Amino acid sequence: MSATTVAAAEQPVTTGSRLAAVLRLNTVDLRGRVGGPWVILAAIFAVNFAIWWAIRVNVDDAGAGTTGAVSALFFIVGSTYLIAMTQVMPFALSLGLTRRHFYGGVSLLLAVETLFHALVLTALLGIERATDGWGIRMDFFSMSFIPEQNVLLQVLTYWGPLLTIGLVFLAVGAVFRRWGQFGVWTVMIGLVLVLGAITFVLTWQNAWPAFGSFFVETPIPVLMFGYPMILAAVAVVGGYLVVRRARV
Amino acid sequence: MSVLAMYGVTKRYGDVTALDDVSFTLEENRIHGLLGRNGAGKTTAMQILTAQNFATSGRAEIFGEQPYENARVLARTCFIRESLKYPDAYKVRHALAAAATVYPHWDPAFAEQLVEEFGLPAGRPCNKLSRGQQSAVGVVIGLASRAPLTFFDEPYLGLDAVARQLFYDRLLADYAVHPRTVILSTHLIDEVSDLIEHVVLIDQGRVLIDAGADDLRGRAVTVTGPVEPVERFARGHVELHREQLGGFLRVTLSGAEPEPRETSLQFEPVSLQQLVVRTTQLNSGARPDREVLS
Repeated sequence: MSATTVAAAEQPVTTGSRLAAVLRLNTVDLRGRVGGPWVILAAIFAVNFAIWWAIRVNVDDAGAGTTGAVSALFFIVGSTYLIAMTQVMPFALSLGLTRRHFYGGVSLLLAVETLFHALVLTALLGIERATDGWGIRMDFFSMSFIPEQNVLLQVLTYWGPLLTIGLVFLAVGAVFRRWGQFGVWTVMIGLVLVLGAITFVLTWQNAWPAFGSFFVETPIPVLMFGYPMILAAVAVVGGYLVVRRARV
Repeated sequence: MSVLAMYGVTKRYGDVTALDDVSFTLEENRIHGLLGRNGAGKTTAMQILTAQNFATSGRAEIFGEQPYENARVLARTCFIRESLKYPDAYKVRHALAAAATVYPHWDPAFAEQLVEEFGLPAGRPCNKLSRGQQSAVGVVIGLASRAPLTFFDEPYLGLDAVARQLFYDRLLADYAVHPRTVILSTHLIDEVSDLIEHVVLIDQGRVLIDAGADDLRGRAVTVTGPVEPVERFARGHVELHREQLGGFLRVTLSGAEPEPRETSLQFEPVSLQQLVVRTTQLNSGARPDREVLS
């Protein structure tokens, strides 16, 4: 074997180096990656602010300024991770990365990225509250049914759903990688049937009041972080089991 | 030392058998040609070797280990596919930066040189590139990665003859300085015949030829002359092809040595492409009774 043979100088392959490569593959355009969702959210904010400003100018008592617009961020995060599975993963596997490292690395990135979003949202919520809804009593960052609480719990309240939705989208992406469009449609139809069955049972048993009181009585951290984490765990484990036999 | 092996690999998609009991081993630090028609099973073989696809039965190995989820061996591979797509958000420089973090032997200067030579716009989104430019990105990654085991699966789609020659030239020059194992899957056989040192020909999922390129060059000969002496000479040899024009006969024979004393006969060497084409034709049912080269 020649001294310049590339195989001869091979370096050890560590999990860390592989995960770092996966992170890099998903963040080559870091500015667009991190900035993109916030630019979109800023645009939504501007539109909502203009509308509520106009309402407050014309109507004395227009009620609470609830927008719910912050949920857009959930879907931006979700779609980003769907793309990670549909577009980035085939490229990653061509470069010799394993499914395990790719899925693990992307899940790790998701956890960090959504925590970052949760921290920024908490900070903006602080400003919103301090300025009495940006001076026009607009609830943009608050999810109105969640009462005031301490900062840590507020971060978890944002992080739990963001992380969960991201992992669910990642799992859907795993289904796409394994079974293609057909698999995604099957999952969607299955989901519709399950939700339909739950609705049917609740209606049949006249159990809607009990269902409603569950949401009211469950402590917010459990409802917004505890239960989502169960779904998150199911999504991440299920997604991995699906993707480990995926072809690209 | 063999770097890659398949042992009795069969791959079925429903009723279609893409690979049928395929076995071959490839030596380290050579340029191997994986030849065959479109749909012959070349891509499936490479996908199974890199664990992007799974064999129905049989065993594939790279660097002496099974490749599935095996980071130790997969980390030493690079697989540039014909249909390789880059994420929509990627610009050319992003694709190269991503590959640079994956490969410890990545040569940024070489990559930059190749980008310039192929005239690639580094700041353009990959999905806005022409087909040829997309192929060129793959070629740059495949060469600059210096992966110990590099697969190029028809990497030249949309590349013109000049760009393809540039690829062959740079591959050969870099390979001379940094020996590694390259598997070049192609059907442009004439173009690569001086490049490849070993040939595996696959047709209809089966291996028809597995031999050194030099060995193959002397393996077949075309004999032309009057029908009767040509027939006499051809007797006992495997006939790959036959053309008759009036009283003249032209046959391509496997395993025959030119015979200078036969003054009425003309002997010509057979190019690798001719050999591959004739062998493939023979396999596809033109003369099913004939023995196939192996």
